Amino acid sequence: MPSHILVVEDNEIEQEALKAAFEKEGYIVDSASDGLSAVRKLREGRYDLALVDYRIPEVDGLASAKLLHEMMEEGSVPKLVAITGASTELKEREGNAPIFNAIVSKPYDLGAVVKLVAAEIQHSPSVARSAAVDQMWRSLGLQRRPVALVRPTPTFADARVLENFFDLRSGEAPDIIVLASPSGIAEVAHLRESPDLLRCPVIDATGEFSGLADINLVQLNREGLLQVANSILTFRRRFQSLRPEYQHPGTFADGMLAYMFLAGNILQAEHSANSKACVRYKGFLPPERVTETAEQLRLDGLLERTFFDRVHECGKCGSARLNAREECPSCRSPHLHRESLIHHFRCAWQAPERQFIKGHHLVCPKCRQQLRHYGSDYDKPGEVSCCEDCGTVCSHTAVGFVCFDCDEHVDGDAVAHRDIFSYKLTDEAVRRLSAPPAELASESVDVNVGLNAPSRACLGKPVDEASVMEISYPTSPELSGKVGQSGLRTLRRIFLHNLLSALPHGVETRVEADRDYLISHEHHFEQIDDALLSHCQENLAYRLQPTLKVLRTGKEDRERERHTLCH
Amino acid sequence: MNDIHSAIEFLAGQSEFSLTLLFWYTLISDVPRYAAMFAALTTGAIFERAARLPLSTTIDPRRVTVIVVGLNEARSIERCIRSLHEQSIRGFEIVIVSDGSTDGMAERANTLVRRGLADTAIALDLRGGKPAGANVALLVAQGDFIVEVDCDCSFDRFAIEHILAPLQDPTVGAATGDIVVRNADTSLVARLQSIEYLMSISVAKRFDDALGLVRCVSGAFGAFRRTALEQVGGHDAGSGEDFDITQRLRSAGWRTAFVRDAICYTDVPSTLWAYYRQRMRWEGDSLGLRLRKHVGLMLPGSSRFDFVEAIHQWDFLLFNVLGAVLLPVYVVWLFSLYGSFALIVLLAIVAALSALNVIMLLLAAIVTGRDAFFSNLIYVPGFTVFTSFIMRTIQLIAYTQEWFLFRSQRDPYSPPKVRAVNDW
Repeated sequence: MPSHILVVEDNEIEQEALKAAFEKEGYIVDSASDGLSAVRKLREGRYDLALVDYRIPEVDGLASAKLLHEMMEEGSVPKLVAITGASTELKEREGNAPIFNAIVSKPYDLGAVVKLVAAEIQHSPSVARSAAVDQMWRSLGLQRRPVALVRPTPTFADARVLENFFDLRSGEAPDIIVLASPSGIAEVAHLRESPDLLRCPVIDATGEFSGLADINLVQLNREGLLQVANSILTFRRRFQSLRPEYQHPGTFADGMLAYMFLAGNILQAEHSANSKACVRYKGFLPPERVTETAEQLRLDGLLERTFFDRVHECGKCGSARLNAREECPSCRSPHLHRESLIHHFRCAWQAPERQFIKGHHLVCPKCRQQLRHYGSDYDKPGEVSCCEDCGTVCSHTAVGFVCFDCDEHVDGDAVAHRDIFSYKLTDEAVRRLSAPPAELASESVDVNVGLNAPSRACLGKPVDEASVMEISYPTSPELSGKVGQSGLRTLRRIFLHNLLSALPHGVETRVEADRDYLISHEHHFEQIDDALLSHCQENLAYRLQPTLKVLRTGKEDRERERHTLCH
Repeated sequence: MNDIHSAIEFLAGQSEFSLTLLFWYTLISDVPRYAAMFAALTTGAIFERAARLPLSTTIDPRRVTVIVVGLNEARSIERCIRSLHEQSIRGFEIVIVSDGSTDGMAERANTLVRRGLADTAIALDLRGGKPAGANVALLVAQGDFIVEVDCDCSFDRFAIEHILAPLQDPTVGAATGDIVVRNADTSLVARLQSIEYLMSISVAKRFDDALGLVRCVSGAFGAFRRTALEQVGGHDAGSGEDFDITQRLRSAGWRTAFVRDAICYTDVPSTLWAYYRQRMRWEGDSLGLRLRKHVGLMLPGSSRFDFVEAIHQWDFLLFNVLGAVLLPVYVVWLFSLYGSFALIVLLAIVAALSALNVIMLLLAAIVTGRDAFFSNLIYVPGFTVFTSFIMRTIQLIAYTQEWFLFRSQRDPYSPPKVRAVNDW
């Protein structure tokens, strides 16, 4: 990591000369022309070393340095090197407590100054700290400190803290995405859709998105950083075992599957009042798209779901942010209060208590008699709800909902609801996402091994006696870029269906991750020609351009062949 | 046979004066009753037709609230509410009060509200009695016209539309419907009551209505003007509250009406014991309310004295109370004077009254337009015995218990806490 140097020099020519010399050495150089602006810059604390001219305007070099020592914490003051034509005077003024780490006397040799600075920087506290952090990352299993993409763009102070542990500047491909403030959530969600950033775990440094992030880094301590390192390594490892077509997914569905594969197979839902859907999913995926896509993938057998919760929805805007309330069944006002009924035995008057209250007394509004003796004069047989708005009195209240987003009202018994599920990759999905291409293309492969039990059972005869034709799709990487893996699967499914319809009965299919097989005991697929293949792709949005290869002919053929050879 | 033969000879040989003396009880207690009923059936029908109100109502159903107060009616509440939804007019409010039910009625009622079949359900944890339940229902009801119905009743399709019709007249405070027995076929007791309801409600109340003398707006099916109910403070505590509220409304100057085409069907007790218990309560309440709570109506010196109401009160005293009190006197007198021959006299009375009842039944069937004559004809002798002897005996027991023992104050119709403080 390049070190930062501040050149404080009022002479522009000298300033430029020094800057040029240090930049040539690879340092990041900044400059100031007077003491005050120098102190201001140095206080921000991103410099490893400051080269200060003793005689500068406003506050001179020594006063600036003293000021800095007073204002900054011990250990955070950068290395200070003075340039002066009056080194004796400076030393005298410094007295017994040296302020500068080194003094360069004018006139100076630029090369010597560069060497001196290099030596000082070697011993600067920030460099030492940085080396320790690098060492720590290595001990956690990473070769270098992780490159972090921070969203939203961090403030200088945040960047200073994060920079102590992560590489924020190198511009290399990021290892992690850091959410530094809640306002960055939309940006992170947007980044998540970029295929190149799929392999990066998201780190929540805000503490507010515990269920969404891959790691929650509340404190920058060793335990926290260990989690980060483990997560990066896990994502990398899984990314390597991800099938190539999923490493750069073309569709949201494929991206979602790939992310689930990297993040531990589970897409956990959690409550969130931040969106109308009132649900959010791990990985900062947009909940509306997740639900729609996940349900389709579930039908495809790639996801299984577990019930998470049921939410009620506004009929107008679809928001689940509803205020559930007890309401007056007559005017739908929630302005209700519960009140006891009083039954006056003597005259049978029965009404809410407030009708009886006259100051400290209870007086029957019907017969004007005072109620004195609970249980003998009167009792309270129950409670009713009284509406403050329309005066309705009733025993039961209605339930209603008011949308927080659009103020629409909906009755409790008419409100629509939606079920929320968490999703998990099925074994089939994991196999598709991770299995290396099936190496069935060679004649030596035993088809029996590849076929699962149901396939064998449905064939009803030993497979090694069957004819097998392999259909592969060389253009599938391009197609999956256009239509995604699920789209590609659909194209293949339609194509196979068309093909089976064109073939006589007795042909079975076997679908593998990247290729399909036709298996038959009765046919040898001689009727399959280019015209038929073309016909079978007519109703497809994209042509699959399959390649066909007969892997094995049936037992009868082999016997016939053997017979022919014998003769 | 000889006895009968000699009895007939004996009766035939009596002078008119002797016969009058022999049948004095019948002449006092039964003949005027039949005369009144005959008048009702003949002239009353004419009156009624002349004074007939329009049957269709112009009252907006949204101004109507039907209230159903029930105790442990979980099994019947839904059927009752559904039958209300089958009415010719719709859109009226329905308020259900579960009066301390412990059988899940409150939950059923809430379910009906949730399903939109009823508008409001009030669940009371402690039973307060039907009047208190009706009062709380009145409080929550939004309508200007309140129809009170019993949970175990069902209604003719036009019942509510018709019962509201008289209330279009702003001087009418309440209207009652016709009550028809639904379970007449379940037992003889039920069958006899169905004939009784036909005579005493379907027919007699037409006559009362024509004369403006409807004195009891049935608790099973009655309609009220809200302002009228509020003016008299709703229902008062205790049993017989339907008669009581009608009396108080009338005293407050409101007219009451009977609507012959507003038909409500109800089940009557099908065993004699159940019938006995029901009538003990009704007759006891009737006496207690008339001769205690509302006695002022018939006392000329009282501030509440009202000539029309007084006629009715005296009518009750003469025919119901006196008739019941004199029955044992007559029987004892008859047996002490004629020994076993008295039985023949009683049979002769039954035969004569049965003949009258057949005529009455025929007239009732004609007037009501119901197929009630042939189906009930064979029950007429039984009905005669039932009304003349069994009903009167029950009335006598009820009146005695009420007058001397304040039976209605112990009646479980009201919960103990209410009975404890009321001394009507």
